[in-house]
Amino acid sequence: MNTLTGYELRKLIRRKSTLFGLLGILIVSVLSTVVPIFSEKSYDANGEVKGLASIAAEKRYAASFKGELTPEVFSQVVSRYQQILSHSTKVTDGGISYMSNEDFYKAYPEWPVLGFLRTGFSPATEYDYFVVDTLTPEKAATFYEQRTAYIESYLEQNPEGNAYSDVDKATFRQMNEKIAVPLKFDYTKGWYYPLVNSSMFFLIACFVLSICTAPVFSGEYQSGSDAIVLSTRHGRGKLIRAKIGAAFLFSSGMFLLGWLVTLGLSLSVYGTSGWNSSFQTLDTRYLHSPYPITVLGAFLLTTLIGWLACLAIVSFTLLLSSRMRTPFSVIVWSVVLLFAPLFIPQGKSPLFNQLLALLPGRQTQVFDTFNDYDLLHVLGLRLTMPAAIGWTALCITVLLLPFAWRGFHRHEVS
Amino acid sequence: MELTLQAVSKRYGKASAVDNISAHLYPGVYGLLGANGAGKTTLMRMICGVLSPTSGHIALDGQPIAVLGEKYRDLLGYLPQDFGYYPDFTAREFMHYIATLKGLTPSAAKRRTTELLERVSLADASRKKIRTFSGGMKQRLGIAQALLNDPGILVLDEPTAGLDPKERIRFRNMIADLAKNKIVLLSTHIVPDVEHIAHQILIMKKGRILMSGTAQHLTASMEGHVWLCRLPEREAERFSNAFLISSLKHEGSEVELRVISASAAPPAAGAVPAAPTLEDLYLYHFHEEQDPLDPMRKEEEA
Repeated sequence: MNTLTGYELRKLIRRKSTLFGLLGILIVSVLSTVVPIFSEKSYDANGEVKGLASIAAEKRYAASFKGELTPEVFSQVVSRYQQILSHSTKVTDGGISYMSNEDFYKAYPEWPVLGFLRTGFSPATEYDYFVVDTLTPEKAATFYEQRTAYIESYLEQNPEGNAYSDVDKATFRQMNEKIAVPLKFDYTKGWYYPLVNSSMFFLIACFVLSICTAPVFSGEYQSGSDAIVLSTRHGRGKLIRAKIGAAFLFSSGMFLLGWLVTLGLSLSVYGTSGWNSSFQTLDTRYLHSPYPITVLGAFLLTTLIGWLACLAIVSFTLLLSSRMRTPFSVIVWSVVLLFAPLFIPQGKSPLFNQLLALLPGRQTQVFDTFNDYDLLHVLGLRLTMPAAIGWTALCITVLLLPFAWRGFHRHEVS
Repeated sequence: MELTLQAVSKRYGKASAVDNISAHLYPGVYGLLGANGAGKTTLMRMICGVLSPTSGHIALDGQPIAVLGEKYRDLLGYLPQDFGYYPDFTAREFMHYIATLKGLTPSAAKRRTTELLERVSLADASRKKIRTFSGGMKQRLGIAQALLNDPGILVLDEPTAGLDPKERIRFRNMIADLAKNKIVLLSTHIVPDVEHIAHQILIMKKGRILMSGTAQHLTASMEGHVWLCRLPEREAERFSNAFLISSLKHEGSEVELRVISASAAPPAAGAVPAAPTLEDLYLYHFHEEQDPLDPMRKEEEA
C-alpha cells in the first residue's frame, strides 16, 4: 500500500460515520446470531427445551446421523418412527389425528432425517407432514430416486412459470448429477444462520459503506480542499487511484470484519460442525437445490458475491461522489439506488424477475437463489443466478470506476 | 520562466467573471488588487489549472499549461481563498499528505515540513489536530503547504486574511525572501500588503485589468488629485457627502480630511496637495463598488 492510499484510508477511518457504520454492522451481526438463540426450541424425553439447552439437544440428535445419509438410514428411521407411531396414543385436533406428546418426544430424535423424508416424498410444490406416516421402509430407501423424480417433475411442470428448454433441463440434470450421493449430513446451524441472514447483513453493509464512502471525492469539494489537491502534481492522477484503492480496501475491511464477526459469533454458539456437509442438508428447504457444493462452499460463494455486491454499490457511490458537490446528495442517491429495487414487485415474466435480481439491493439476496432452478441467458451463455449476480456486480464495479476517475480528474473548482 | 495569459476569459452564462485578460508574468512579485467580485480568485484558479478558461489560454514558456499537466503542477504552490482542511489530521500529517501529493520523497517531506512549520511559527502546534487551530493558524498552515515543493510559481489568494498585524508583516517579509527566481502572484484587497512587496501591481475591476505597473507608477497617475483640508466639524460633514474622503481625523473642533478629487482644482480654500498612496488610488477606482456587508447592514437596520 503506498503512502497516499494510507492517507486516504486514514481519512475514511477517522470519520464519525465510520464509527457509527461499524457499530451498525456489528449490531446486525450480534442480533442475527443472538436473537435466534432465544427462539431455539427442541424436545427431549421430558418435553420442550429452549435456548442453549435446545442447541445441545439438536446437536446430539444430529450427531447420531452424522455422515452419509444412505438409503438404509432413511429406511431405518422410517421403521423406528412408524414403530413409535403404531404404539402411540392418538390425539385428534381439528379432525386431524396426531401422536401424543410423550410419543412425539420419543420420536423427536429422528426429526433431522424425518424432515428430509417429508420434503423428499411430498408432491412438487406441496408439503405433506404426514407423508412419513404411511411411507414404507422400502420406499424410504428410494429417497434419492424420489429426489430425482421430484426435480424431473418440477422441471416438466414449470410451477414457477419458467418454461425450461431442453438445454436448460439438461443443464440442471448435469448439475444434480454432480451432487455426491449419499448426501453428507451433520449439524450445520453455525453456518445456517449467517447464510439465511446474509441478505440482511449485505444490505446493511451496502448501506453503511455507501454512507462511509460518499465523501471520498465530494468531501473534498464540500470542504474546499479540492483546490489544493487538484493543483498538486499527483492530484489528478495517483490521488484518484489512491482514493479508489482506499475506498475498496476500507469497504472490504469493514465488510469482512462484520461478516467474520457474524460467522464467529454463530460458530461459537452453534459450533463449527457441518462445514463439509452437502449443501442440500443445510435445511430441508435446500434439499432440491441443484448446486453441487458443500455448506462451506455455499458460504464462500455467498461471501464472495455479497462482497462484490457491496463493491458495486461502493463503485456507484464513488461515481456519484466524483460528480456531486456534497456527500449528503451522494448518500441520498446511493440509498435510492440501493433500496428502490427492493420495492419493485416481482412480475409474471421470469426474465423480468431475473433482471430484477441483478439490481443493486436485490443482489444482496444472492443466497436465496441457491435454491432456484433459474438460468439467465446472456450472449449465448447460460448463467446460474448466483453467477449472474456475481458477474453483474463485478461488471458494475469495474465499468463505473473509469467514470468516477474521470469525474474527479475533470472537476473544476468553482 | 514566462507565464503568459492570452485573452483569458471565464464566463458563467452571460456574466463574465474574467474578461479577456492578457499578461506576461516573469519572476517577481505580482500583487492583484481588486474589490470582492473583481475576478481575482477566478483568474488565480485558471492560472492554477483548477478551472478552465471559457476562451483564451495560459502558457508557461510557450507551452499550454493543460498540455504540461503534471509538469506544470509540479512547479505550482497554491493557497486558495477559504480552502478546506482535514480537521482530524494534525498539522504535520496534513503537510506530509500534501507533500506526498506534490511528489516529495518521505525524507524530503519530513525535512520541509519541519522547516516550514518552524517558519510559519507552527512548530509547537505541529502535533495538534487542525480542528483546534484558530483562523490565523490555519492560514499560516495554508501558506506553509503552498511552499512545500519550493514552487517556481506561487499563487496566493488572500494570503493575509485572518492574520494579525505581526503575522502579516512576517508573511510579507517571508514572501520578499522567497521571491527570487519565482513568479509570485498574490491577491488581496488589503492595499498595504501589496504596496510593500509587489514589484508589479495589477488592478482588477469587473473581470478586467484596469491598470498595472509599479506602486510608484500607479500612484503617479493620482498626482494632483489628493488634498489635505482642515475644516470645522459641521462643514466636514457636508464635505464628506460631496467628496471622496480617504481618511478623517478629529482635532479639537476641527477635522482633518484627506480628500480625493476628480478635478485638479483644490476642493476647499486652504487645501494643500498631498502625495498620493496606493490606498488613494484603490479608493478612487473602487469607491462605487458595493461593500459586500452593505446588504446585511441594511437588513439589520430594517
